[in-house]
Amino acid sequence: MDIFGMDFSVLFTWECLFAILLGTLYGLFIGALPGLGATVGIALILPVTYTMEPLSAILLLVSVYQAAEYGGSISSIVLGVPGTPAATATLLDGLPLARKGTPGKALGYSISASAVGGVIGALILMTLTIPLASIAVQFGDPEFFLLATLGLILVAGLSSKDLPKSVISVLLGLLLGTIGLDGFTGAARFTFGSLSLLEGISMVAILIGMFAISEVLFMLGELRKRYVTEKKNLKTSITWKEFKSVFKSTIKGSFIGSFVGVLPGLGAGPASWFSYTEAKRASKNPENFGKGEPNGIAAPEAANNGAVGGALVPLLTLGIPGSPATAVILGAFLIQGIQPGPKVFESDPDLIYGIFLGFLAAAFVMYFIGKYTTSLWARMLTMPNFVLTPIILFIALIGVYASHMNIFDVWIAAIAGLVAYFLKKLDFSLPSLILAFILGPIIETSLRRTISLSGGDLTVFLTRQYSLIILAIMLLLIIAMISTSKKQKNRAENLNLK
Amino acid sequence: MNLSYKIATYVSLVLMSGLALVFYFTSSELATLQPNQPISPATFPRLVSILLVITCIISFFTTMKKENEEVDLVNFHFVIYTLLALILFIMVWQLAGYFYPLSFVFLTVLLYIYSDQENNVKKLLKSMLISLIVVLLTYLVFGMLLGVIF
Repeated sequence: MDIFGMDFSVLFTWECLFAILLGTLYGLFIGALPGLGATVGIALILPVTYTMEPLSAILLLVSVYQAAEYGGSISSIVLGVPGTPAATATLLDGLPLARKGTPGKALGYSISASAVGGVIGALILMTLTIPLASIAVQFGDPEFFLLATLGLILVAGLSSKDLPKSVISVLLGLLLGTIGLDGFTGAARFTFGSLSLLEGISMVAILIGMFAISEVLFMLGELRKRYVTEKKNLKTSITWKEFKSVFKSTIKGSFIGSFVGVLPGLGAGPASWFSYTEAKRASKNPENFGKGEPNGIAAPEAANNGAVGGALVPLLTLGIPGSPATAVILGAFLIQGIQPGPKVFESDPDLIYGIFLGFLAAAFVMYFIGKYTTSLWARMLTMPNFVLTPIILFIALIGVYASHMNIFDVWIAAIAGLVAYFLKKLDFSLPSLILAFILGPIIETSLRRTISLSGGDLTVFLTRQYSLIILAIMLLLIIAMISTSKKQKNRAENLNLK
Repeated sequence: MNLSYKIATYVSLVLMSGLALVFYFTSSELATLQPNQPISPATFPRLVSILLVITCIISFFTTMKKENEEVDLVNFHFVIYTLLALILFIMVWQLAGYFYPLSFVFLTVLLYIYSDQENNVKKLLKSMLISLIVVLLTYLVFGMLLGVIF
C-alpha cells in the first residue's frame, strides 16, 4: 500500500473538487446555525450523494463534517450560542473577545486553529490508518465481534449521564437491527408480514428521523427566537505574530483532538474541552482564560477539527463508526455498495488514498472559504427559526424518500423522530442507539460465525492473540468506568453531606 | 406543558420491556430453524430481549432513587400541530400522490402556523412565497438533477 502510487487524477476531477467545495460551503452554513451540528448536516445532504461516484460522495460528507466543526464557532463567537456542542468551549473566550469589539480577530483565531487541526487530523488519519489496517487484515470474526462490542461499551459508558438508560439504548438499537431477513437462513425475522421490512429498517430513515426530525421538534421549543448579530469588524484576519502566540496550543489541541477522536463515544465535544483545559493549565496567565484569551479559542477549535480526522480512523480501518457523524458516513459507504474495513485498502486503494488527500485538501479549502465567507454566515444567523424548521423537516423527508423511493421509510423516519424526541428528553442515549443499530448486524453475524465454526466452543475468544488483547482492553475499560462512576457518586454524596 | 420525569421514564421502560417480550416470543418459530447449529436465528434477539428486560428493571429502581423533576415540553402544541400536519402530508402523498402541490400546501401551512407576524394576509403571502421557492428548488435539485420520482 503506497500513497505515492495512487492515481492523483482521481482526486482532481470536477466532481471531486465540486464535492469538496459544496461540502465546505454547506458545512459552514449548517455548522453556524445554532443547534444543527455536523451529524444533522451530513444526514440532510446524504441524498445528494446517491447518484455520485463513491470518492466524491465521501469527500462531500467529510468536507461537511470538517467545515461544520469550524462553522459551530461562528455562532459561539458572534452570538454567544454554540453552533455545535463541540463549540461550547470556544464560547468561553470567543464571546468576550468579540464583545471587546473584535469579533473578526476571534474568528481569525478560530479559522486558523481549525485549519491546522484539520491538517493534523488528516495527517494522523494517514499515519494511523495504514498500519492499523494491516493489523486488522489479520482479524477474524471473533475479533470483529469483540471490537464492535468494545465500541458499544465505550459509547454506552460515555454518552449519557444515566448508565442503565445508555445500556437500554444500546440494547434497543441491537434489537431493531435484527429486523429483516436473516442472512444465514433467509428467514424473515420480526417483519410482522410487512414486505417493506424484509430488508430491515432503513438506516437512512432511522438516522434522519433520530437526528434531523427530532432536532426539528426540539427547535419548535425556540420557534420565536431571533438572534441579533454583530455586523461590524467581522473580517476574519490575524497577524503572523498573533498566530504565533497561539501556535503551541493550536498544535497541542490538534493532537489531543485527533487522538481523542479515534476513541468511540468521545469525539469533538470532549476533545475541545480536554484541549481547553490543557491550554489553561499550561498557560502562564491562566487568569486570562474566560476573558477573551486567544489560546482559549485556538485550543478547542484545533481539537474539534483534529477530532474529525481521528474519528475516521476506526471507520476506515475496521468499518466501525465511533460517532453518529461517522455512522452517517458509513451509511453513505453502504449505499455506494462498499463495506469499509481493511479489505477496501486492498480492493480499492485509490478510494482510500483519495479520501486521505481529499480530506487534507478540504482543510485548506475550509480555511480559504471560511476566511472570506464567515461574515456572510454570521449575517445569515438572523434567519428566524420559524422559517428554518419547516424547511429542514421537508428536506429531511425528501432525503429519506430519495434513499429507496419508498414512502414506508418516510413513516419510519417520522416515528423515529418522535420517539427520539422523547428518548432525548428522558436522558436515553441516541448515539448509543444508532451505533448499536448499525453495529448490531456486524456483532450478530460475527458471533454466529464464530460459534458455528468453533462448534459452540466459547473458549475460542481466549485462544486467539488479538482476541485476548481486545478482551483485556475491554476489561480494563469496564473497571475504569465502574471506578469513575463510583468516584462521581461518592463526590456527589460528599457534596450533599456538606 | 410539563411531564413528570419519573412517570415518563416508567412508562417508557414498560413500553420497552413490552417490545422486548414481543421480540422474545415471536422468535420462538425461528428457534427451530437450523437445529444442527449451536446458534439459531433466534438466539441473538432472545439474548438481547432478556438483557433489555433486566436493564429496564434495573433502570426502574435507579429512577426510583432519583428525585423527581419536571420535563419541560416547551411549545408542545407546535409539536402536536407539526405531527398532525406530517401524518396528513405522508398519508395524502401515499394515497393520492401530487407530491409537489402537496408539498407546497404542507410548507405553507407550517410556515403560517409558526410565523409570529400579526398581519394574516402578509403572513400567508410570505409563507406561500417561501414554500414556492423551496418546492421549486426541490424540483430542480431532486426532480431534475438527481432524477428522483416522487
